[in-house]
Amino acid sequence: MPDEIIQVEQLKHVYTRGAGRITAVDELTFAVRRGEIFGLLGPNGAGKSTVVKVLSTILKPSGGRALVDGFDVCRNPLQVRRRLAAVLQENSVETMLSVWDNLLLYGLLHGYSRSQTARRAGSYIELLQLRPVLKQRAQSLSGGFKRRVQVAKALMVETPILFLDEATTGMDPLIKTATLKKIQEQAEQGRTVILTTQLLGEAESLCQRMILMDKGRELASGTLAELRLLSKRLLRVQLRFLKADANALKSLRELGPRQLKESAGEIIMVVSGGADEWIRKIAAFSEKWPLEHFEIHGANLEEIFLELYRQ
Amino acid sequence: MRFVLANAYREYRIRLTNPVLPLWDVVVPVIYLLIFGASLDRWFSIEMANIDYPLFFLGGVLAMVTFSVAMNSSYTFFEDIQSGIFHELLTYPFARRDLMFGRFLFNALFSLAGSALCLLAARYVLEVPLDFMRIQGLVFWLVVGTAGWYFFFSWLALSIRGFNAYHTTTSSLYILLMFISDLFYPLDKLPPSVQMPAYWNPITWEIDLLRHFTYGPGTWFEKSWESAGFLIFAGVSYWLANRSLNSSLE
Repeated sequence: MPDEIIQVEQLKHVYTRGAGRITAVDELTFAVRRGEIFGLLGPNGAGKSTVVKVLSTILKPSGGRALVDGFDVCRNPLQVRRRLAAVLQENSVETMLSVWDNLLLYGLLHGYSRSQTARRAGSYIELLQLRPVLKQRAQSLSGGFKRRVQVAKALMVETPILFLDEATTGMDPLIKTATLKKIQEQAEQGRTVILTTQLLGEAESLCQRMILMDKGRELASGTLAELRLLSKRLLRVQLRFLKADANALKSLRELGPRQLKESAGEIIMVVSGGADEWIRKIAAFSEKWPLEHFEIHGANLEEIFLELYRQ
Repeated sequence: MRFVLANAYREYRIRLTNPVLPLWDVVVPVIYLLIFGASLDRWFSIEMANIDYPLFFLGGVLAMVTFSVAMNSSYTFFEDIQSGIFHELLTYPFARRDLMFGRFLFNALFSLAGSALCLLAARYVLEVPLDFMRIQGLVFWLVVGTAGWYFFFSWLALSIRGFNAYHTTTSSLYILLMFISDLFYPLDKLPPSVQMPAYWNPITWEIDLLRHFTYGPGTWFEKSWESAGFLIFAGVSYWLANRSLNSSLE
């Protein structure tokens, strides 16, 4: 059994809109390992959802190839579909049916019997707190609830691959945390998860590896540590002065941070270089402007993304 | 087969949430039969020797049932697109043709139910003498008729994709196909300019076949040619619909 469950090589997808052509994915290459949580990240229009649609056989690629568990998405789309469950970006619910009927139909259409579906759906109904709306028509639900129904459907079936395209959008924080924990558990049990999100914090906490996309192309890929190296060893420096001084901020800017923001007395700088070098710089700086608090650690994904995007 | 049945069940659950659609599919053709069958009887019985107009009209109404059921069912593609479930359905672990056949299965049964209502109304309200010895052929052509129109309208819906454009197209087609055919009048009673297009209209072939299996008019040669014509129409429509469903859906 090959280690890589998804292989994407030189993938290209061009949308035709009337006479116009929009290249959504351009020569993209990456691979996802079995049992991994892999992030497809990038801003709006980066081409993330198009990649998911190609991998889940909704769209046919304009060029290149994509293999899912060894099956080509163009030549063996049915074999590919048998291996995946997908939460797509758009709300996908049977609006005229109740929440329970949505879950039941999803189970039946994935080859489960009624009793199997009921058994499998039970814990996800509780996890996503769907019990109070179980008999309600999906049409009347808020966007967040519709999203929960979609996530419950995809989590309750047993497929080796799970695509989650902006799956937690609109969820309240408690349910979101519980859902992310469940996704992590499923990955630990061997399910491969491809997570598409703009919420970089979410990706940072879940994904083992990720690809940053922009305008259909790869901006960078790897683990968070690898991305930090790629982004000139970005560091995050947090500090607070004992006494605020306008000159202090000016002098800090002269140290050449790549990003600097100040909020309620707290200064956050994103800098590149060695940690030792920056500790020395800040120590020298604090002699003139004493500090109340100082912290230095690796930059977060959002900062890395901004840096790579700028590069 | 289990996926075809699951899709048929889905279609059943969705169609029955909107009681207006089934009403159009089943009740409207019966009303057509009762109103037109009774009122036009006096006019046409003079022109059409040996046949009561309701008996002649019955085949047309049965075709109307298959046509309406198929056309209204195709609108659920737009509901699926609007609710966002359409793309998700395309990721489910079955062949896309299972999705179409499942929906067709429900619609075929629905057509048969609507047709049974028409036959009962014809027999017991309009007192039309029916030849129930040919019921197997009638059932066969009601199912094939539904299939032909169902695949045809599915292909149209998947190709046009815009609801308003589709609605305009089907409304125009409904009028054109119904009136440029022998649904209301015998082919030779139509204006000469309409006779040729009506002869090449698949609904004319379907109506003639349904008439043949309700009271038996037509020669063996005529029925063979019309059977072949309608089967080719249904086959091509299936091929087109399946191709649309399997092609890139943006």
